[in-house]
Amino acid sequence: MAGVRPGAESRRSGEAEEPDGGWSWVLVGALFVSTSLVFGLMRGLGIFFVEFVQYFDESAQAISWIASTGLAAQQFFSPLGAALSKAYDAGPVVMAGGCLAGLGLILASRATCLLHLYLTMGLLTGLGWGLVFTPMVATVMASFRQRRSLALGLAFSSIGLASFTFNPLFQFLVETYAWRGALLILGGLSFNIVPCGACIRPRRRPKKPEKVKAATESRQSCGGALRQVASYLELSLLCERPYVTYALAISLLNVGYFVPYVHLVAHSRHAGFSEYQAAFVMSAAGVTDILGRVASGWFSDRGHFRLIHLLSAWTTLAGLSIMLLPVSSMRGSYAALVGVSLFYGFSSGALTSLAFTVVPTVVSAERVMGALGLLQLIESCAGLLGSPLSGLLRDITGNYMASFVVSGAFFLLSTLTMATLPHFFARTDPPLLPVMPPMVPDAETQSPSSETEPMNESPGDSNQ
Amino acid sequence: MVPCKRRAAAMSLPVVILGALMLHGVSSQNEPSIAASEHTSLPVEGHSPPFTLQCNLSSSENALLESYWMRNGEEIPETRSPNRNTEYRLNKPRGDDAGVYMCVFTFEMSPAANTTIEVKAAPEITGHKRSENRNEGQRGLLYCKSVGYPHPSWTWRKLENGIYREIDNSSGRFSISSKDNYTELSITNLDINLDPGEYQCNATNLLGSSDETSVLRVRSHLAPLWPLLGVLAEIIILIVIIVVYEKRKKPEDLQDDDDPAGPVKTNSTNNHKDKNLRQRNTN
Repeated sequence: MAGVRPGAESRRSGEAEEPDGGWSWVLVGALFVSTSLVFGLMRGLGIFFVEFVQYFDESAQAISWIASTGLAAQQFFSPLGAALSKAYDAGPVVMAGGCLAGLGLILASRATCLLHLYLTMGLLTGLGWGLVFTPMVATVMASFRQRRSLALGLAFSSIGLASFTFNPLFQFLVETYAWRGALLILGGLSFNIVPCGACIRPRRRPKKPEKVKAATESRQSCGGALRQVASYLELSLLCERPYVTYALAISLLNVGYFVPYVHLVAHSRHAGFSEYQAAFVMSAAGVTDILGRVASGWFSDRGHFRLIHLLSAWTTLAGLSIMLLPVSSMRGSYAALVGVSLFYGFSSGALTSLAFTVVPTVVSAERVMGALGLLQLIESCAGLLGSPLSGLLRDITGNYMASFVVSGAFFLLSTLTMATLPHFFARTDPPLLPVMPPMVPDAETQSPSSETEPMNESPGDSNQ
Repeated sequence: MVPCKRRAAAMSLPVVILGALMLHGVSSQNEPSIAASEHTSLPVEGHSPPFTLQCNLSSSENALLESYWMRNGEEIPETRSPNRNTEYRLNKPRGDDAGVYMCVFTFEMSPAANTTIEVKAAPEITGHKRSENRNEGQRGLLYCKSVGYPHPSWTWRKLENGIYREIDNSSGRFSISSKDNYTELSITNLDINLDPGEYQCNATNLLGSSDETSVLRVRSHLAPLWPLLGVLAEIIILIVIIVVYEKRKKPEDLQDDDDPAGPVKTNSTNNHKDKNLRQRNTN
């Protein structure tokens, strides 16, 4: 130990290298690539659906279930990904997820009936995505202190950029290779997640002495295993008020979040604008979305305001702009519609950079992984409600005014829920007490907590 | 008419015959005669000036119910009127206004009368598939639609060595079905070596001809494997690079696997804890 360089010693501190260091930006690049291959790919699947409707001779609704299954599987298996990353390392979990996602798409290329597609392109690929997203986000968040929001903002800008590039690319692939060949190639492309997982450096973890472990296991093997699983899944978070409040706020946000994406083009056409004008509105909102993510990430890292305050502000602004969308096009003014859409794009992108970075201020650092996984699961239920609800409102009232106003209202409700978080109106983040893992209650496990105390203080430090 | 008959009855036989002949002549005078516009041809290109088709019913003895226009055997809506002189105006005549027009007069007591006017135009192909992409062994379908009158005769040709040649159907896989203004070229069991290329449909009638080309591409079953192998190779290279980089960067950390890696802030209390852990291990 005497001959070890100081750099190597600090490298052994928990998961991170030097935080905010060079390798952390490599991880940001890895997150960029894997996010684009998960969510960007999901958004580009629409091109395949036209082909599926023709080939399988099924209704558009039956085909759209494929995407819904994929998204639902990704969110449902997120806690599993988080738990596995805690039990083993995040790296192998992400690599396994990438392999599953690619395998799912390759198997989908051989599909002969719709059920095949549900199981492969929906369930298997979604499982792979679930194992990829949460561990990667948690790893990147753990390797940054000062620039956390900027890192996430840059990485999540990949979703918008991927939508731009994947749509023409997928169209080209489908035309040149037919949908089977295109899915085969996409499966290969999805394997690019594996090198991203390889970038994640293995974590140092305290080794349990054999004697203590054996003793505990012999006493209550079944109960112990269950408790271990529960601790990996961080189910105890569900009993904590701050986390539940935050999860509820994000769920409310999710109900309204996707509505403009789904309905903005239709609403623009309904208001009397041409197809190209409507498509342009959507593209313009997409561009400001990307800008908003990066800008808000950069700004929130400056530390002038608490992350939760910034998140509430952006959520409120996004909600107001959604409500203004139908109003702006009422007079037939295209400029007003575009202006409000630009503003909506910017504010909704801005809030996505912050939604994850707030989590370490609500739970302690070693639980962030599990917290993110559970958050994805909880918000998925809300997301499933949002689009059908807005569709229903549109069918009942005949125009989009009600559905936009309602989804904007959900945004505002989300802000109000966030305001009920403890210490919301304090100037700095409250200190977070670390949680003792339930299994081995001896002095040895004090070490992880003391290790994490400095990590807990730094978000507060950076906000002061 | 009636005084003629009375006179004929009083006269001799030749007069009767003459009277009967005159009756026939008179009754043929009762058949309506229609004066209609000439058959016309639309110019091929550019905007032809608006022109009007006219039908004038000459005799006024029969009671007219109404008149209307038909085109290619179907009634044109909103052309029914009670006028004896009816006209149909084409404001901006285009190719698809060509066809056989008919003005019809219906009467209360007599059968209807009509005249046809042909509006001819050179064929113009209005619909065709620009490109058709199919897998090997599937069936490829190319079609062309045209407007113009009379209905054209269709031919399909394939571009070979810079010249459009008649399609060689020795393999029996090609079939052409043409009807009026529509033609279809169907190729079964696509062959990736022989079939891809540019196909041209040609429509010809008295006034002119028109053609359009479509591109047929045949996808091989193995085609997507090459990009897939390329992507997999790229991924393997990336993984190798990352693993090698990791191994070179921290060789000393790999040797530390035996150490219980506790909290490692470099302060003395840490060393204490490490020592404690080591002691526990030996216990």
